[in-house]
Amino acid sequence: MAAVQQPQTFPLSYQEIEGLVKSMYEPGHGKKIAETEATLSVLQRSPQGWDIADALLNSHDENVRFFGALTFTVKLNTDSAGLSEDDSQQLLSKLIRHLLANPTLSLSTRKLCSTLAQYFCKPISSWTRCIRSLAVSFSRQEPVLDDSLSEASSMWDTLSLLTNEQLLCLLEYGMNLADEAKKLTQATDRTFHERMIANVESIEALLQVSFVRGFKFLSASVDDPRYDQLLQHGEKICVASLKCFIGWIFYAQSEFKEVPEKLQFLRSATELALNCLEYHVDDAMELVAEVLENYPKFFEAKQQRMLWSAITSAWGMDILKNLDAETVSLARIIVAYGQILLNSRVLYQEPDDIHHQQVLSILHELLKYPNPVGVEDDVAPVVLDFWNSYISTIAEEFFQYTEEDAKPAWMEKAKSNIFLSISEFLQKIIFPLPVVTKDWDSDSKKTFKVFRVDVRDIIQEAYEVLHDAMLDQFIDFTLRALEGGNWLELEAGLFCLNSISEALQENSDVRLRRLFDQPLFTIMTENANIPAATRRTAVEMIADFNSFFLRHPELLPQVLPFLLRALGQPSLAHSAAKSFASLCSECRNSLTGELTSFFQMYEQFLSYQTAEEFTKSRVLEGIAAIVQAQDSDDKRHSGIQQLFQYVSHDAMQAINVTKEGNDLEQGQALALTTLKCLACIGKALQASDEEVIDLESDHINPPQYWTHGPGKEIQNQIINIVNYLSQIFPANSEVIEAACNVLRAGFKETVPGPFVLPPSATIDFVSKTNMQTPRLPYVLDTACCFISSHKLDKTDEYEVQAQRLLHHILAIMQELQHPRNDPEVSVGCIEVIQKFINTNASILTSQTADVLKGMFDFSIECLKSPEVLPKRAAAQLWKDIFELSGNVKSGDRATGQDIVEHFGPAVTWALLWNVCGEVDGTSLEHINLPLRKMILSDKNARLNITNALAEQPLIMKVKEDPATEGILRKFVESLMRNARNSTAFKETVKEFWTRCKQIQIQFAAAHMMQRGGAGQMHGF
Amino acid sequence: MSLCMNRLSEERKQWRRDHPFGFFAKPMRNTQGVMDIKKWECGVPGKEKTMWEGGLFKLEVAFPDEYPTKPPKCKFVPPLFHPNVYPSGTVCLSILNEEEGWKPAITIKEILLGIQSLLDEPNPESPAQADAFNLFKKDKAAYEKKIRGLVKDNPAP
Repeated sequence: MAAVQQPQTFPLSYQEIEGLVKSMYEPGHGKKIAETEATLSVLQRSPQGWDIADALLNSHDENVRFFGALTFTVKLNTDSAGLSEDDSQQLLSKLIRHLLANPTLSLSTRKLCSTLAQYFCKPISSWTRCIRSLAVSFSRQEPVLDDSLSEASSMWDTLSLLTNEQLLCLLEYGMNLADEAKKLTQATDRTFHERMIANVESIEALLQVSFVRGFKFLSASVDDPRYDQLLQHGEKICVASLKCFIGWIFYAQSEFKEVPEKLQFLRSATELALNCLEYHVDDAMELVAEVLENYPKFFEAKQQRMLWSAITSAWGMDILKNLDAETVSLARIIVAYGQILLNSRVLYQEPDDIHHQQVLSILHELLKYPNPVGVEDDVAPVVLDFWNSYISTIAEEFFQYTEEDAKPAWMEKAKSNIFLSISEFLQKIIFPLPVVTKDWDSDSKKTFKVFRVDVRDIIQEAYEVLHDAMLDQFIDFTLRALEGGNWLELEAGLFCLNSISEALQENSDVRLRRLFDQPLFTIMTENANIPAATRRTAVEMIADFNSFFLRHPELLPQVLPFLLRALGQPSLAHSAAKSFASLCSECRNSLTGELTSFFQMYEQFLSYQTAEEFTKSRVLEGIAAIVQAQDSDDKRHSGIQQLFQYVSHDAMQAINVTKEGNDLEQGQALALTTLKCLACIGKALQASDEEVIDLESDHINPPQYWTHGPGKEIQNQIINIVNYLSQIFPANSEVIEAACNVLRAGFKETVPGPFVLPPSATIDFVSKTNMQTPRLPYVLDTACCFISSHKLDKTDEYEVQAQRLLHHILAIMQELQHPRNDPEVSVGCIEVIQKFINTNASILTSQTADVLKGMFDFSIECLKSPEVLPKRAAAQLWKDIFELSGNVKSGDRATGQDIVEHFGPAVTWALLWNVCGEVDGTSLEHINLPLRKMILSDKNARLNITNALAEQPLIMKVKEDPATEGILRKFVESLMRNARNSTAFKETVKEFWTRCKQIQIQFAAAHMMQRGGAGQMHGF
Repeated sequence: MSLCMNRLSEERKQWRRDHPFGFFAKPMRNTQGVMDIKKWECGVPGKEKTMWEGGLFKLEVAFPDEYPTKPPKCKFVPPLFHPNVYPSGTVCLSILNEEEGWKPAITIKEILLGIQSLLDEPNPESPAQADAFNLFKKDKAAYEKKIRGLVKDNPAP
C-alpha cells in the first residue's frame, strides 16, 4: 500500500490513539467524547488511516480492535479507489490475517467480517472465490488468495476440519457479503455479480456442513456432560446458517435471473433450513415466513409440502394450541402459505381438494382463540391479512360476472368461506367486559381499535359478494343480542351494520325493519345498565342510517328521545347533537306536528351540563328546521319567537356578566353561543331547494312579511343582537366570524325569510369594521357574498348600500396605502371591487376620477407586489375588467372600456414586468389570464405591450444586445398570434419568462464578479 | 385496464394491507352505490401532540386520466381553514404540484401523510387563502383557538 512505505509522521503515537479510543468507552468522559470523536475522525480519514487501522487491530482490547475494523471500513469507502492492484492484494492479506488471529465471533470480528465483505464489493477488489479462500486460509492459518487455491483439498473436506468458531466467522462473512452485494443491484457492470455468483457452490458446501454440524449438537444426548454447551453451539451455528442462507436467497432473487440453474445450490439447503423449525431454532419461523412472503417461488412444490406437513405435525399443532409468541410466528407462515395457494387461485377454484380444505380450515381455526385482540391474541390481526386478500380476490372474481351470468361452482363454496370468516371476525370484535378492558394500556386499546377498523373494511368488501345473506346474519345476531340483553354483543352487531350502511339501498329496508321495528332505541333510552360503548355505536348508527330514517320517519319517536338522553352524556353529546340536527333537518316535514314536544325536550336538555355552544346550536338548528317546515309564515313566526327566547336569554346573560359581573371570558363564551345558535337557526330556516315557491301563498303573505310586516321584529332582533354583541367584543375574532355567519345565513335565500335582512343590516356591520378588526378578510369576504346575493337587485335601497360599501372599501385601501402593509386585507378589498365589476360595474361611474385612480393604482401595486395573494387577486380583477370591456352583451361594457382606456398601459406594464422574470413560476399562470384577455379585447394591446416591454428595466439593460430587438418582436408576434389558444399562449409566455429569469441570474452573477473585479454580460 | 386504473387498484390493495393509524382512504360511491375508483374519499387525522390532535379532516382526491404521470387533486370537503388550502378546499402542497415535487412513485399514503404534516406546519411561502393566512400571521393565539374549534367540529371517531 502506498501509505505503508511513507514515514510515519503522526501528531500522536499509536498508544495515544489507542488511549483516545479507550477513553470513549470509559465512564466520566462524557463532555470530552465529542472532541475525542472529532479527533479520531480526522485521524481515520488521514493518509495514515490505513496504518492506524492495522495497528489498532493488533490490540488486545476488544473496543480498540472494533475501532480498527471500523477505520478500515471508513478508509475503504473513502480512499480505496486510489489503491494500486498490489496495495489492494496486500490490504486483503492483512485483513485475513487479522481475522485468523481472532476467530472468536466477537463484536470486533463481526465488524472485520463486514469490512472484508465491503472489500469484496469495491471496484479495486479482484478477489473471486472468497468463501473458499477464507476457508482454506483458516485451515492453513495463513492468507490463501485465489491463485493458490487450486492446490487446496476439496471445500467439503476443508470445512469439516474447521472449528465451530471458524465456521461461525465464515457464515457471518457469507451473510454480510450477500447483504452488501444486494446494495449493488443497480450496477450495470455485471463483473461484480459474476465474481459473487462464483461463490455459490462454496456457499452450498458451507451451509450443508454447518447445518449438519448444528443439528448434530442439537441432537446431543441429555446424558452428555456437555449437553448444555452443545445445545448452545448447535443453536448458534443454526441461527448463523439460517441468516447466511436467507441473505443469499434474497440476493439470488434479484441477481440470479440470468443463471437460474445456480439456484439449485441454494435450494439444496432448504430442507435443512426447514428442519430448524422443529429444533425450535430461534428466529427460524420468522426467517421462513420472510422467504414465503417475499420470494415464495424459492420453495419448490416438494419443499412446500414438507413445510405443510411440519405445520400439521405434532410440533405445529402444539404451537397452535399454546397461543404464545411462537404461535404468532407460525401463523405468519400459515398465512404466507395460504397466500401462495390463493395467488395461484387453486385455493378457491379447487375447493374439494382435501389439502386446500385443510389449509382453509386451519385459517378459520386461527380466528377462534377466545382471548381478546390487543392483549393476548396477536394471531387474529396476522390472519386478518389473509382473509382480507381472500375476500378481495373473490370480490374481484365475482365482479367478472354480471348478475345474470352463471357463476362457477366454486363460487358458492368461496362465499361460504367468506361468510364463515365474517362470523368469526364478528366474535372477535366484541368488546371484552369492562373488568378486562379497564386494565388495558393505550397500546392495547389502539390495537383493538385498529383491528375493529380493519374488520370493518373487510365487512364492506364482503358485503359486495354476500349482500343480503350477510345483512341478515348481522340482523339476526343483533336481534339475539338485544333479546338476550347481551349489550356488548349488541354493540358488535350494530358496529357491523354501521359498516355496511353506506352500501345499503332502499330495497334493504324490509330487512332492516326486522331490527328497527323492535324497541331497540327505547330499550337503550330506558335501560341504565347499557355500557357506554353500546350507546356510542347506537348514536353512530343513527347518523349512518340517516337516509333510512328519512324514509321511515314513523320510527323517529323512539330515536329522538334516545338522542336527547345521549345529549346528557358528555362522551356522546357531541355526536348526538349532530345526529339530532341532521335527522330533524332531513325529516322536518314529518315532524311539524311535534313542535311543542321538541321545545319541551329542549328545555329538558338545557338542564344538562352538556348544554354548551356546540350542542345548543345544533339542537336549535334541528328544531328550527321543523319550524321552517310549518305551513304558514305566522306559524313560522311564532316558532321563531320561541327559539329567539332562548337565544336572547344567552345574549342578555352575555351582556350582564360582561358589564356587571366583569367576567369577560364567560361573557365572550355566551356571546359566541348566541351568535352560533343564531347562525345555525338561520341555516335551518333557509328554504330548501326542492321547495316550490307558491305564488298563491305569496299573495296571502306578501314578501314584506319579514321586512315590513309582523316578522319585522324578528329581523330587528337579529340585527340588534349582531350589532350589540360585535360592539361589546370588537376584538374577538370568533365573535366577528360568528356575526358574519349570521348575516350570511340569509344570503343564500332566493325568497324572503326571517334572515333575509335589509341590505343596510350587512353594510351597517361592515362599515363599523376597520384595520383593527380581527378576521377582516372574512368580513370582506362576507361583503363579497353580499354583493353576489344582490346581483339582480336593482332597487334604490341596494344601490345606496352598495355605494356605502364601496366607499368603505376605498377608505380601507386608503388606510392601507400599499398592499404590503396588509396583503390579505388588500386581497379582500380587491375581491370586493371585482365583485362589483362582475355584478354592477356602473356603480363606479359615480365616483370621482381621483377616487378611481387611487383604487386602480392600488390594484396595479398589487400586481407588482411580491406577495402572491394580492398579485393573484389583482390579476383576476384585471382579467374580469378586460373581459367586461370586450363583452358586447354586457350593459356595463362602456364602464369596462373606460377603465381600460385610462389604466390599460399601466396594467400592461405591470403584467409584463411580471413576465420579465419578476413573478414566481406558480403565479405566472395567473398573470397569463389578464394578459391574454387584454390582447383579445383591447385594440391597443400590441402598442401597449411593445411600449411596456421597451420600458422594462431588464430589457433596458440588454437593449444594446443585437439579438434583443428580434427576440422582442418575435415574442410580441407570438403573443398576438396565440391569444386565442390558451396552451400555446402559456408556452409563449413561459418561454420568454424563462429567458428573462436566466438573464436575471447572469446579471446577479456578473454583479458579484464585478465586485470581485471581473465579469462580462450576455443578453438573450 | 389503463395504467391509471391498474395503479389505483394496486394502491387500494396496498392501502388495505397497510395504512397509518386513524387515516382512511377509499374509492367513492355514486348515488346508485357504484364505485368510482378515480375519486376517493379520504380522512386525515390531526397529528398527535399538535393543536390538530383529535380532529379528522375529510378530503376528496380526484385522480386524472394521466395519473400517475400527473398528480391527483386533493380537496378538503368542506374547505378547510388553513393558510395553504385554497378557498375552494384544494390543497397547495409541493408534492401535489406537477411542476414541483410530484413523482409518479409517490403513494396515496405518502400524500396523506404529507397533508397531515402540512396541517400543523403551514408553509408561509405559498399562502392559498387570505383569511387563515392573515390570522396565522397576526394572532397565533386566535389562530390556535380557531383550529381547536375546527377539531371539535370534526372529531376523530
